[in-house]
Amino acid sequence: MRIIVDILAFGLIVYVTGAAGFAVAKRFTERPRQLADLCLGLEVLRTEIVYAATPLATALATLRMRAPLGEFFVHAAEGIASLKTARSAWEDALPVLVKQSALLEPDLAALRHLGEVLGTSNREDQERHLLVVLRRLESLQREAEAEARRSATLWRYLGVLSGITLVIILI
Amino acid sequence: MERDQDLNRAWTSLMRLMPPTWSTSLRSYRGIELRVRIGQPVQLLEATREVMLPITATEADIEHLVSACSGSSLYAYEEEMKQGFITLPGGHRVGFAGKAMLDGAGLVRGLKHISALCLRVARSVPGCADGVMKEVLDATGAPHHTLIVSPPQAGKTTLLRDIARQVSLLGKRVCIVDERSEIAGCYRGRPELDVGPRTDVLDGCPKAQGMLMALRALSPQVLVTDEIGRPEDVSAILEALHAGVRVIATAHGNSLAEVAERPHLSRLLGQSMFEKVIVLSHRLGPGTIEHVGSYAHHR
Repeated sequence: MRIIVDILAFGLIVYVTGAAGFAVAKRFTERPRQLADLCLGLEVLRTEIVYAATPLATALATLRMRAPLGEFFVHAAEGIASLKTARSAWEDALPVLVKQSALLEPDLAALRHLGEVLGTSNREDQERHLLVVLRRLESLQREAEAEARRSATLWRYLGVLSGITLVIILI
Repeated sequence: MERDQDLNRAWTSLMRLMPPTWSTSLRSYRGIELRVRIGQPVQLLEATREVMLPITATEADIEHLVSACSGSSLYAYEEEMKQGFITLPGGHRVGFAGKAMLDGAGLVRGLKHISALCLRVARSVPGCADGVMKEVLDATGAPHHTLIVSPPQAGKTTLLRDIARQVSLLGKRVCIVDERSEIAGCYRGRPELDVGPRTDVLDGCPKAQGMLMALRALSPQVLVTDEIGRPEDVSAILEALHAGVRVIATAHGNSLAEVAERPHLSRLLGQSMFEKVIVLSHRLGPGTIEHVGSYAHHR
């Protein structure tokens, strides 16, 4: 009877530390995924602006991205529709990403830069700005992916192995 | 009274675009024009007087106005920005001043560093053409070829719009070639001012090209256009004439004699192409009709 309880307890320890390791790992894998989403969104925005000249509020509202990016774009679109400048609507929407996304400061800085110029010039100029930001985000995404590959695996192993170590010590 | 309400509504809709801090200063006015320049007091024109408001416009105010007028999407108004203005819902127009950007051929491709803007309230005055319609229409109810001559701000576009509306109401197919979006005040291609039920509008379309497009595609009975004077306008009008379409147009000028001296217009007038001429002035306020009648008679 005692042995069954021990096995269950040890199993639980390994499960908990393993889950903690996986949770930390997820933070690393989420960021490249969200960056990829963001790039896709901005790519669509670029098409809407350059080829269709769709007004910003409509273009942003039709992006329909997964949360939390979707929420960010909708928030910005609503701000613009209520006659705020694109810059302040964008700035007001950024906290959504700060709170809910896995994006880090360099990613947000690139986005913030885009907010400064969005909608303030002709199509050619807008495309240039969008491409600069897209290139920056793409390189951040590549870095984030490499980082994720290294760190995510590391944290997963670390979680499980620290559980096992703990069990061995307890035995 | 109805006109006052129109003006109130128009003014209120424009006030929504203003920087929030201005609302208290602007509330008590009903302007027809507002001029905003960086570092200068805001200038407001009412029907009969000018008011310099106790607000000094800042760069941020201009940024707010440009953004509110364009829906934060200046790129969507690229063609309009080449002309220096955009038309708002309601047909109101915003003109911009700033630094011009040129393309390789030396043509203006847009403005940057916008430093001033001018908002003009668009108003139609239905019925303002009542007094001249008898002269404009012939015995069959079709309009004569008519030229409206007037100095700036004396109401030639307003009169032209109401003639177009009335002719359209009387059953003629009217096509307005509205190069500067002033006649019909189109927003996204749809007339925001009343131009009648049988009226099509080619918005933002160069006059000469537009008149030919209209003749080919829309088979109008009456063509309406603003401010003719270039050589290509004249040949397009002659084309319309040969197609049996009546033309109603306006020209800048203080008097018919002055217009007749302009090289291309003199060609049209010399051929007595326009059967009727209406001359406007400021003498008794905007829209004072100085003369209406046949061209030959006027001379």
